Amino acid sequence: MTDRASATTAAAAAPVESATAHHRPSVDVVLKLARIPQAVFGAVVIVLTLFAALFAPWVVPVDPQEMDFENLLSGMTAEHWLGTDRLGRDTLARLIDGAQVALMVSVGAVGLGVVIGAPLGLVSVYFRGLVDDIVMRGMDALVVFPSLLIAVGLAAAMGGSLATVIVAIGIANVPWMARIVRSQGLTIRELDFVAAAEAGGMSHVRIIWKHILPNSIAPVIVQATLSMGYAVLTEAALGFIGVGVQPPTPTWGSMLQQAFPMLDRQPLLSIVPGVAIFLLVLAFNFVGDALRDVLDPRLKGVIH
Amino acid sequence: MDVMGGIRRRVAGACIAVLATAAVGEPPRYGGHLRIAYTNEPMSLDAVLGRSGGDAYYWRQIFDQLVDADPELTPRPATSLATSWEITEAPHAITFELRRGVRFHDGTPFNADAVKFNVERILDPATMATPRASMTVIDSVDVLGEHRVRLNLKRPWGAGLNMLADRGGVMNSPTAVRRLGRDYGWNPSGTGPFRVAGVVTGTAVHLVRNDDYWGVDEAGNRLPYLDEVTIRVIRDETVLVSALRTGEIDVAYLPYKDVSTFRRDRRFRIETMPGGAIAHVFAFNVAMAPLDDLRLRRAVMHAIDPRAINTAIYFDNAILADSGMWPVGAWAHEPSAARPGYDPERSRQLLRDAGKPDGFEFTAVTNNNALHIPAAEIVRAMLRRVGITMDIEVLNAGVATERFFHGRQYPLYMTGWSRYPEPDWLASLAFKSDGYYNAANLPRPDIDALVERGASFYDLAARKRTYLELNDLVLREAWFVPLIYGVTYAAAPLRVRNLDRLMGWDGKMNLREIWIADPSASEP
Amino acid sequence: MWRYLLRRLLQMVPVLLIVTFLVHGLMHAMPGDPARALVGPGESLDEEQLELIRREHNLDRPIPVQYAIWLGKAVQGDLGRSTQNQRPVVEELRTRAAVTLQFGVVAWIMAVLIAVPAGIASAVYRGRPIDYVATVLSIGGVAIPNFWLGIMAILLFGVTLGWLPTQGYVDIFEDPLEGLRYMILPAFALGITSSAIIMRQSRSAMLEVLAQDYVRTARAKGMREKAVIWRHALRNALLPVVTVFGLQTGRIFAGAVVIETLFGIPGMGQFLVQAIFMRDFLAAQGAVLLMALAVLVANLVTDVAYAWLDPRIKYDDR
Repeated sequence: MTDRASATTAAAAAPVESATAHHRPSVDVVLKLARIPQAVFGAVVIVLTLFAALFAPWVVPVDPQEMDFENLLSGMTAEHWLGTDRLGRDTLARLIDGAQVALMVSVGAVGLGVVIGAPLGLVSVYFRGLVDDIVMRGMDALVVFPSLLIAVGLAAAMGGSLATVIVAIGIANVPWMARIVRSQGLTIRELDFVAAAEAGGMSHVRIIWKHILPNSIAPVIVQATLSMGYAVLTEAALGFIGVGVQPPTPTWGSMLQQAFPMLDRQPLLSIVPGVAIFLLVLAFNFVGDALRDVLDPRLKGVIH
Repeated sequence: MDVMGGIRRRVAGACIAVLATAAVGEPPRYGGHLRIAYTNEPMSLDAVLGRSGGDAYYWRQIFDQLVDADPELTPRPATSLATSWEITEAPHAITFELRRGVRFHDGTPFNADAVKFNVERILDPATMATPRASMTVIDSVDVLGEHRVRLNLKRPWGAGLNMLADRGGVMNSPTAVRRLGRDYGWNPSGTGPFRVAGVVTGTAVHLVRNDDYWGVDEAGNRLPYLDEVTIRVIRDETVLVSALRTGEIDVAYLPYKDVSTFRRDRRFRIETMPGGAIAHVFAFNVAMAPLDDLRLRRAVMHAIDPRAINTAIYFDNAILADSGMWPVGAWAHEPSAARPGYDPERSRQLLRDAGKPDGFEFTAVTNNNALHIPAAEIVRAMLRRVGITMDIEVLNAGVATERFFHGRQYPLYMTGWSRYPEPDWLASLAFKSDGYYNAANLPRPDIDALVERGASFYDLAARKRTYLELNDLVLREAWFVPLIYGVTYAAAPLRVRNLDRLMGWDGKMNLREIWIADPSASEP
Repeated sequence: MWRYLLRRLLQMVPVLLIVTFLVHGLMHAMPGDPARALVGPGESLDEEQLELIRREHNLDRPIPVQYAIWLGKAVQGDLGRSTQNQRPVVEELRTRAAVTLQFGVVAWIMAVLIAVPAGIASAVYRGRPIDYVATVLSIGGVAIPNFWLGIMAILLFGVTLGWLPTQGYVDIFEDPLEGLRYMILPAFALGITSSAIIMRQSRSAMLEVLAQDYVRTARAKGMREKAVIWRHALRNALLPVVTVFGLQTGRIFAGAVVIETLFGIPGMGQFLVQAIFMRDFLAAQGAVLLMALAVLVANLVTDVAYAWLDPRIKYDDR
């Protein structure tokens, strides 16, 4: 069958001749990445965001919860570099607090997607037949839901929290990871060395572990990086419609939600978090694209 | 009748406005298309089945009530479908004399049979009528003649006439209800000044003049003046306001943030209704730990300075609450000393008394909207100053309401409340032990007795005394404590006339006397 | 071909069943009394009334049985009534889907009209300024949150300039000009991501095509440059448009959820989010069913169109 993933990853499904060349590629990859300007830009933005998030209190010595009732909805001032919101809270401090959430969500959700999706893809491709059909129909069903709707539904059922957001976006990532691993595995399975291993009495688990898994790593890493950007976008959308992480913890999305009614009074409030989201997503995309070029140029057709 | 000073001032203000209009000597003009915008779409155009307070903006134009009331909630026969009524005590009953020559939009006559049909429809449990709980005091309905009908009551019904001025008194065409069944909600047939000409789901309701309307103004002119009305749904307040400013719409209620700019704009007239809502109220579940301890509830209340909320959230355009759930402008309102006000020292003292000098933790729920979320964040910050940690859970209003009052998942709900000037409505639903809005449902015979007493006689002064007693009790126990009373602001360009007649007793729009100075200008 | 189509259609059935059952389960997993949820918000229902509702909606039966009953009715075109406005869900979906469809189609057309010419131009004029502009746009378009773009559009065209309406919707078939005026900002915000992806894909497809033998042959034979591009290359460059169509249908729905809320458009997305928020079970189930169906059909159309456009791909009759 030509389902969506296999149609679009047709190019990716070509045999990987470097199946045995996966040892110690990390140094090589980093060196190659360093020659791509976009990748460097992306990496810098991600590292800066991470740094700001980890060392928030030292980066901006203002309490993001502190309400300055003398300075409501202020513009850029020496005291508040990026202005204040309707409660007089410092936008820069909140932005950095929001970066923590954005990073936790993107890493957590994509991690969850890989941890659940990759094994499903492996099992599916290895056993084929009924197992494959059941797993892939389940994945089809999940793909049909936009991740945003999964999140809205889960938040409604479980209540909004950081965990809910991570689980919801993570679930949405599962089918994509499963499909990538599966389509990668489909071609590898057919290769001689797998048949040989099978004939040689190697166990299922060992064949999956030794041969199929290592060959799936590159496309999964690429997909994971790109998905992190998408997770940031989804989290922002959730925050904007008011589900997800609960106040007063600022998220970039909820900052936009609270800023929107004030759009005609203080547009700066609506501009700043959007720019932050844009930059971080851009950074993940740049790094993801560069990784794809470096790790496997044939992966260009993959879109998520 | 006991009318307080604030109301008298308001009445006087209204009179001056009327005189000012009259002084110009301008006769009302007929015709024109009035375009209105409102932030909520109706859940139904059938007043009986609609479940949102915002529905009244729509159904008020389509229906009349058996008993209508003036802005102070005094029954007003001149605008009611009943021209007079007589209350009898033994047995308890109210007999209505009905207006003659009134027809529903579908052409069928309004008569005693129609009243009986409508009341019985509400009482039938299968109808799932919204006003049913406030009507179950009615035992049966007797048709005494074509235009004479009697409601037989199980006990005295002091709130009766006021309740009939709301959803419960709305008269629908029995023929149309029977014919359309569940589809009636969007093809309603009332006796009101406007007929429904079209509904675009989620977008607009289009109304046209009911040429057969029975109502007249003080000078005897036939009502309504307008030919057409479109009520558009504009969910975003910023956009709503800019539509009003650019002339895309003619009338709108203003968000608090825009009140000052419109006040300065001489092209617009603004009508206000102080106490148009209870903008921010703390509803406690008095049986849920840790706030089952009265001292801790009071510690929470004393820690909060409502002025900060009024400034940051309402731009000082709302009113600080000085009493309980019957807001400024309601006849049962009276400032109450029992209300726990801002006093952080007292708050800390109470925490020590309750054995929690270092504070405590709890989770409160609030509504997912642009006013309640930031208000909750202010509250959280103020509680932190006395050592109390409050986590916030944000939910959509409907779900929050259910989870707080029925799921009993939170000890505190920070929310808003519609204006209900008839005290029995809230007293029965929220304070009575088995009330729907009583989250704790603790048996409280003392409160139940007060609630029943308040509804059991017709003398307003005596009723008010009862409700004030109840009000003090509820405030002292920090059960329902309002922080901010809302003010409703309606704005329209000067060409829209009789704006002072726009808001009824519930603060919602009523267009029967609105007219436009240049009716042809609004035609596209 | 027909066997393939039939099999694909049959494969949709289990997917739809899983999807609707999941939604059914999820809605029931939400805390609170489902009987109250089925009447909608509102005070004053007593036990007697709740009992009536439980019986009417079979709430006393196990959840799988309830699901089966719902499914039986759904097959006959009865999806129950929404509690948000007490209308039949089917009727409500019909009007809402028409809105979202109009809106999605306009977004899609705008996206393609911007992306394909830009993609082709940037391939043909590779390395020139137009290529850089297009590339920057295509990179930025994927990273920008579409609802934020919507907010910025409201700020610029609505609040500041006042040129375009920013809330609501006018039926395009009733008043095409006014309809478009209302549609243009939200459609732009919604279509931007798709546009960026198509632009990028058309560019690389076009580059590939331009380098291929037959194009070079055609050029060598003296065909004029434009004719070469049009005759041979365009058809191939359209392939990614088709691919992206399938992938983006789901995205457009997801985007519509937020964009419709932001611009006050009474479409499916807004309806579904409200339904979930308000625990409007039947509406949510119906809307998800319709959305899932739309996404599946879009995927099928994509695959069929893809095979039709690209003779190299054969139906795999595994």
